[in-house]
Amino acid sequence: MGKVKSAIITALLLAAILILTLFATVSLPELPGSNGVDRYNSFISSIRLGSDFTGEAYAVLYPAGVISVADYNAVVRDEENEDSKAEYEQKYERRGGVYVDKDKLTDEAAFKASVQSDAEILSDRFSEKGYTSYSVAVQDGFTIKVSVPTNFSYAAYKGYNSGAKSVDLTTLSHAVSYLTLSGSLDLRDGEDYKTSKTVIGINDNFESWFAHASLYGIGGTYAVHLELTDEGFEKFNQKLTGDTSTTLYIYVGENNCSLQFSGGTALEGKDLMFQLSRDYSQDYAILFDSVIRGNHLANIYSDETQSTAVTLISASPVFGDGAAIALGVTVLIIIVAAIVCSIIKYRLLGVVNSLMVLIFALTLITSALLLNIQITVAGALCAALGLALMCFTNFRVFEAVRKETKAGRTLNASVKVGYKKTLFGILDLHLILLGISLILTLVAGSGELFCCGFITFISVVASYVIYWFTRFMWYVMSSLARDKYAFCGYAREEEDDD
Amino acid sequence: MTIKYSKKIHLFTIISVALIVLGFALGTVFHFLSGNFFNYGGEYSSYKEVVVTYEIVEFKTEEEVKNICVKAFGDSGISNYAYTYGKTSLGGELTFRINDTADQTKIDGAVNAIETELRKGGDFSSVTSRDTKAVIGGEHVLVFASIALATAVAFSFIYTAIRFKFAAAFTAIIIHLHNLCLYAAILALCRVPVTSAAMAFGALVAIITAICLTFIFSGIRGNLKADDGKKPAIADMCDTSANGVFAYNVCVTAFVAIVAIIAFAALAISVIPLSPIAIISPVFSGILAAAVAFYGCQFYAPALFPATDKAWTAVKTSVKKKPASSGKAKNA
Repeated sequence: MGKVKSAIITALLLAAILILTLFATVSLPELPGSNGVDRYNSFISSIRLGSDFTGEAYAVLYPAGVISVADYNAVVRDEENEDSKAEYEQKYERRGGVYVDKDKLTDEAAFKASVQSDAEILSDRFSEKGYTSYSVAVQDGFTIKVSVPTNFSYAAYKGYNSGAKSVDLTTLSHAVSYLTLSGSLDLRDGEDYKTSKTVIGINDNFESWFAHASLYGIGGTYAVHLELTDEGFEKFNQKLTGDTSTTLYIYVGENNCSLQFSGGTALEGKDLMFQLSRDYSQDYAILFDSVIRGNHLANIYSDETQSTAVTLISASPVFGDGAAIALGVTVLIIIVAAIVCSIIKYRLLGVVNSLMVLIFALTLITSALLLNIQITVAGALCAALGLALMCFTNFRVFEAVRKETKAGRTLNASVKVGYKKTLFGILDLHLILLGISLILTLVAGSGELFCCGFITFISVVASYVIYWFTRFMWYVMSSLARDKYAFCGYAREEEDDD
Repeated sequence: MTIKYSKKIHLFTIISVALIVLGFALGTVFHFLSGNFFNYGGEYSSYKEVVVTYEIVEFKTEEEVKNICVKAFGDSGISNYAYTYGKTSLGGELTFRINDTADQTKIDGAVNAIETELRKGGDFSSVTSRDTKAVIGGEHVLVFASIALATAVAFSFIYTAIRFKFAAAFTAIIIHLHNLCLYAAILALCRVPVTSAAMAFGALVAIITAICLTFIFSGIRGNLKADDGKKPAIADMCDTSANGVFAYNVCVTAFVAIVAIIAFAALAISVIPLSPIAIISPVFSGILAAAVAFYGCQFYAPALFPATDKAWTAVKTSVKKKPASSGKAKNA
């Protein structure tokens, strides 16, 4: 390759890497000429992080008849309201960290058992959400603490993207509010529970009309999918066409799920679809499916504020506020170490490998951002392992080529033979990892294992593509060098005069 | 230095079996004594927590309340706890998560001391101690994660059978299972709090195992091809190949361990005061995953391969002999 052509290709690649690195890593406040954008957040600060780095959001759910110490104290310590104080003191009895209505304590064991049973149902419901981590715990036997990962991006967590944080918390609050609903499935003729009446309800054995509920998604559009049984379909049409023409609403217990459809028209198929956002559709699908399978909560739960939507407390991560920075520093150390090692060992060929390290890192950062992959500690280790795989692949080839040059071949011949000799070993390594990571991704479906599998999958694909790209860039960049052996850090074999 | 792995199969088997049996036996004992096979941490564990809720009209900052709590815990002799903080509409909530085995009287002492200090600020702030029993649910996640790992191991078996030999495939599946069992056994044995990340680190064990086994089997295949017409002893081939790829296997596993240690150092600097409960679990899991995979692949696999090869050859021979012997019986 000509030196000019080689220089142009190298310069273009360097410019592309530089620009992408800038966008990927540097957040800029008040970018000039950005038409009023206050802050540009880098790719890396917009990647979603696991609860290890951004903490969990939690709520303590109190069943009817149980109140918190703070609520109790607020009334009892209020000296201006002696009547309420007397009422509370007479009504409630302390149990651990809560006050319990004495009526509930007449059969304390049964009440505690019902809370425990509810917690198990809730745990099953939350497991369907596919969170990287979550927890449902019974506290003092009387309350249920639900913790879910916030999965904020670093920018959202630090308040550089307050809108995203608010949206994320609202979505989580929706999930906790709806997945913890008590009661059976009900079809009513009005938006307000008190003023509406049941059209189809528990007396009709409404839940048995459905086969299952699931999340339905196609081309970025999502819906709650309720599938009727054959019998349910007939009954539904009989009831709908013969009974009413008003708008009907689906309730769970006393809660309107805001899913509505017009009565008076017969259904064409057994499938009921309600289009919503992905998260909301999933919440309803999980709730309905659980209820259809007969998993009803024994108690009605609310948080301390007693509002319809559960208010979540977004807690700092157990690792501390600096955990995400610690992750960033670790990643930086690894990348710098990989670059320094390769340059020391292979000189200018090490620079080629360093460029590949940067391309690999940028590929992972961009993929994590675009594919919404959450990064946890295990996921970060998988990414690091991917980087190791990429470097190992290149180093193995470099060593194979060095071996060939020592055998007296020219550099071009050595590169050809070196790549040929390592081809199947490297292909094996990548294929087996590709298969394993693909299986982990597809079978796990969600959660931390899914993230690890997905990150490994991307890393393996990137590593293999970069393996071939390295050869191309080696060819391009070595064209600029006079001494190609020195370029690679190889010692040229001295020719024997004899 | 050349290590004769194949001659030490009994030693490696004894070490592995002893660790696995011990781990699973103690896990079972813990299951009945303390209610869990592993020492579940984070999202699964049973723990005690002290929750302090304050209102901004009484205390200006989180630090102010935190200092009161840290002093009370220190005076009561409670030093190990994980700390989180969350804002509420009226102020904030501080949560101190303490190990389930901690002395309740010490916790009560700390709670009383905090209560006394909070009352100096006003009536709205409160402190409670909560006994938390986590529901080990999430079966959906655990079941699918287990199926995923099992399928990945099965894929490894099929791929190795196609690309190498059946004996290698059997070795691969045994090593995968060995490594995963050893990983689980040591986690049970060490009682380090295990979070849902443990399952993800299980995947890391499978991935590192696959990498290291590919090195070893590629080495064996390369050595077999390079042989000069003589029929090589498979045990010698395994030893030579394992020694040849020793540096590769060390690099891969040491890399993972070093990353885990760097992460530990970075986290230890960022988390002040250091919360061992929070940090040790993932870092330990990472190092353990690397160590187990290295031991299984570098030491046990080359020792096991000659044995599985011999067994496979014996099976093939007996299958071939059967029709001949039945023919003889007919003639007789």
